Amino acid sequence: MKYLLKKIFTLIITLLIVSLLAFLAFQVISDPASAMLGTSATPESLAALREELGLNRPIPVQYFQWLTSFLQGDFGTSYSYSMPVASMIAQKLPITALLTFFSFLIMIVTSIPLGIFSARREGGLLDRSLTVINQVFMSIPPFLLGVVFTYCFGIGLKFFVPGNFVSYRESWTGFLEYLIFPALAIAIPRIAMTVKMLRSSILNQMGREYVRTARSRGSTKDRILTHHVLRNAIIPVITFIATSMAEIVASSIIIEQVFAIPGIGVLLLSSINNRDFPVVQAIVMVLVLWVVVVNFIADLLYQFMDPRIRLD
Amino acid sequence: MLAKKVKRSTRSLSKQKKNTLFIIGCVLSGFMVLLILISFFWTPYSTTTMDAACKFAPPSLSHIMGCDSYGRDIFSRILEGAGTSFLIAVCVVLIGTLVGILTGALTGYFGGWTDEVLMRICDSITAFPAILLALVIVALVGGSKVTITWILGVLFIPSFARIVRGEYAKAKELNYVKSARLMGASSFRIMFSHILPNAIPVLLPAITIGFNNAVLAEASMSYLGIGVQPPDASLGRMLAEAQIYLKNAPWYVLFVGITIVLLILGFSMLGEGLQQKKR
Amino acid sequence: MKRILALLLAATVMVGTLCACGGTTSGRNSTASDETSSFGADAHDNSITVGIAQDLDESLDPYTITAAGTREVLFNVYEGLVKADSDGNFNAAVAKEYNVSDDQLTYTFKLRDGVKFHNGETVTVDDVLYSFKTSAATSVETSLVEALSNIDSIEATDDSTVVIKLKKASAEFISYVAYVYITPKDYADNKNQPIGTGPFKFLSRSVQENVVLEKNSDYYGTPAYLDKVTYKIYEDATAMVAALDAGSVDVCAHLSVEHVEGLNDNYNVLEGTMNLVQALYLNNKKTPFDNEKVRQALSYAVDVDAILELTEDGHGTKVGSAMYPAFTKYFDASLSDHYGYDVDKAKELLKEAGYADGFSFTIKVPSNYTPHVKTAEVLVEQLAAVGITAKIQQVDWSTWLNDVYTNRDYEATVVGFDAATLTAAAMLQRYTSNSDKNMFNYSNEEFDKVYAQAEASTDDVEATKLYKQCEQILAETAANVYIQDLAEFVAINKNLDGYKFYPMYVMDMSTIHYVE
Repeated sequence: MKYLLKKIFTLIITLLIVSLLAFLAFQVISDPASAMLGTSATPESLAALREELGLNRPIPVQYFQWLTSFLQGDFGTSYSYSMPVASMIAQKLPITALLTFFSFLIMIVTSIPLGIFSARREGGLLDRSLTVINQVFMSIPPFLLGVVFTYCFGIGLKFFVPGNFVSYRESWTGFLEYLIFPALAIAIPRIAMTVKMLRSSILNQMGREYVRTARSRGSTKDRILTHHVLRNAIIPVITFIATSMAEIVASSIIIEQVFAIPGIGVLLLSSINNRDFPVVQAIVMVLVLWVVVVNFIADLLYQFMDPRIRLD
Repeated sequence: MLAKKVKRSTRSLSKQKKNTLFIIGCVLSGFMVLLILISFFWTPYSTTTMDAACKFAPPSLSHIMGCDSYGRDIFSRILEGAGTSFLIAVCVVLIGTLVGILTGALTGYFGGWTDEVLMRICDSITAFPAILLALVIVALVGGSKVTITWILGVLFIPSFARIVRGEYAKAKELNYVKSARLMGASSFRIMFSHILPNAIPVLLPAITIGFNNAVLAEASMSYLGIGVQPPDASLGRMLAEAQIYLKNAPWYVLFVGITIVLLILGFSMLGEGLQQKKR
Repeated sequence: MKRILALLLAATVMVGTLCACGGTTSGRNSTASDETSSFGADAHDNSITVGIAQDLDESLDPYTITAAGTREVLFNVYEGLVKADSDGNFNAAVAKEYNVSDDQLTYTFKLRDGVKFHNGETVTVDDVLYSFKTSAATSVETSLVEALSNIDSIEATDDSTVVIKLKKASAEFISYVAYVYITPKDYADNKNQPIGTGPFKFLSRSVQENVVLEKNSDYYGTPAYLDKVTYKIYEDATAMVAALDAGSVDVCAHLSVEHVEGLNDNYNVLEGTMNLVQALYLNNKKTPFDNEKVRQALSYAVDVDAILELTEDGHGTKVGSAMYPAFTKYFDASLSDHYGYDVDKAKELLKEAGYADGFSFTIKVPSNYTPHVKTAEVLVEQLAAVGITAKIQQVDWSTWLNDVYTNRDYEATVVGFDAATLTAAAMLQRYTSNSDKNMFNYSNEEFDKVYAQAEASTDDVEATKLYKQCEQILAETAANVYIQDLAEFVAINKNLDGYKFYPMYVMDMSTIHYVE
């Protein structure tokens, strides 16, 4: 219990620090007034706007103001679109979230069976060639896979139309169909890594005392694997999978560009190019929140699965 | 007896694997590095001359990888791009390792609350995917070859620092260090002439992995347009350009892609092999 | 353990079934704006999808539009008292007729009866007055603000007449009237939900995804044919082309030659011009560009034909001054060959100017406009042949606006200038010495004199002659190295007809219709 509280405390502190940094970076260092007025700024209009936005108040006051509005869901107004940032993000977030979950699902569903399979077949020619293939896939960046998929399956085999994103509001099946290849592009390199990890973890376990004991008692290798070893071997892998969530989010930002999916990633990149800081700031906070929470859960999971690691 | 059999087969197999992976890794990365080094002095064609006659030419004997939309030789540009990506990755790893070693050594050896604080900060940084942090910083300062190198270099420091710190914290308790201290050797001498040589082998696999991540990160950022800017070539940037002409000249994407994969693959196999050697 | 595996298996089966379902349902129960239905299929609903390359990332308020792309779309939503047609003439729109006094100082507009805004309200003279007032106060288009500041008085003499009295006579005033979009009095949400009088109503937009317009069935004039137009945003050129290939997009404009080359037979490709002037714009205040001989040398050193060949397969139209070909009233084609490609002449001029060994400079290019980047890259090569080293520095659009356009902190740049209003002034006014839009720092006494004469002239024929003379001065003094008006290609669904090219950056949706 104490551990849990301590962890939650650290989480909140981290978030506060990040929010402070984000606030300083985007509100203080870059001048929102001149960004909003753009080329039609005059010294008078700048001064007037600054007064209106409250930029002349002491910084801690501004920060507090911003933080409270942020927590209430008011993320400010976009410089470019003059729309509330919160509604912009609310529109785009589900798309990225679904893409991330989809990739995650594919990753889990494929890598665990594959990992077990490859550990079973250890020593054969099949295994050695699989290892090399695995290594290759680990080295392919997701965006490269994305481009290759676009060419082979999109332009070549016409399984999908590159760039023709179908919103889930129009058709759920179309939406999922379009997301398959982007999700695969993100998942495949991570599947390779997970398979490798799981496999070595299993093999590592197989060399342990308790396995020898079980063997001497007459259990088959297979049975030992599924009934005893897997439970232990999967522990380090589970946390790896959980932290992969954070990596997947980063990959999806790039993949969204490749496949022209209008999610948070595309919004982030175009806002960066447009110097639309309120949007960048809000998205950064959302993503940071996501990463921190995921890592937190991963930590808890690790704790939960292996009672030996109760760190107080 | 059965157990012994299992153990033996695993052992001999790992030996075999170690050899092949390591060897392939050495050969592949050595080949790439050699090509890149040569390209600094000579390329088959100039990387900037535009030849309208050659526009979108498919691979041929005179242009082994064909030409791009301006009629520039793709092979020469890929060499230049690989060179840029390679250089940036090397610089990034250098910054990361040097500062990482320094930080890790100091905190690991001396410990105390600076150690605690620094490690917390390192943990928080490693928790985030490098790309996100790099994106945000680029949003503020703009992207360029130099900026990217510094940003990524700084982002890589924590992972190296962590490993080094671990080694130093362990070594601190070992006999040879204790006796060196008794003999009156200065901390500085102990840290860098005694402990460091033992810490390096542990770092090597991390360095190769770091190199790969650096190449990946730079390529991703250049692909998105916030890394290396034209006319500087970079593999990521070239991939983005190549994607536009996917229909007219698919070999452009193919060759750039293969180069990226080979570059990363070579070093990752090298790292793998080194890691297994350690075992 | 078994339970976990079972769960995973169930998940896989679920995903698998979903995919299989999607695959077998060919007659998808999709909404009206679905793409695949538009190709020769029987019941194509009367709507189209248009591909655009950039989102309308600004507020939709009519007076603060800065991006040409935004104006292009909103042209169908907003209208002024008069409206331009595809030949560049200004016709009656919200006003049913207008009258100009002989001394060109009084404009009388008679409002059309029963013109309705998109929210159902009828247009009154109050709305017109409000629009003029707001436009003058908030417009970001300085030439428009200037023209409107020329208004001495504007008042409604009765329920359907508005009389505008000018301070100074101006033959061009009517062109500016077209840009005062009429919106409801005191309506403050144009920035998110535009209300105008045009043939299309604004329906909705999703950031980075689409903008949707629908037909205004209460339109006073010839109503539009289409019921709905969805502008889909494809920031990535490959995605755009792939969408064209698959038939997801019916119309796509501003394409370059390599995009249209491989298109299948479902499309017609129309060629037009982008109506802008692309040039190597020079900061005349920075050495060595303050030396006219150097600027002329550059003009000789540049091979425009080669640029057209390398960047657009030979498509594009050479221009020799700050005017584009489609503006036939003012365009002077003879200026395009004023310099021609002469490397020796260039070297000679450089030597005379004292730069026999060449020099180096930086070209700042906005990274989001590929045609300009491409031209810049070719320029670097060509200038190297005369010993000049040019370096390209790509910057994002906001940096370009800030550094180059506002602060004039640059040496050279490659960009395209278009006419925000369909007037000669829109292209030429910025070359006068004290224009605040004179980012080239060009200052020439004769130009200022001739331009002032043209501006003051009340005779259109004389004014045209004087404007053309201004263009000539620009060419002779090599104010900048003028290159081309970019060719643009429009891919349009074979089943559609009625696309018209305008001499400005707009896309008129009201004339497009399906051919049965």
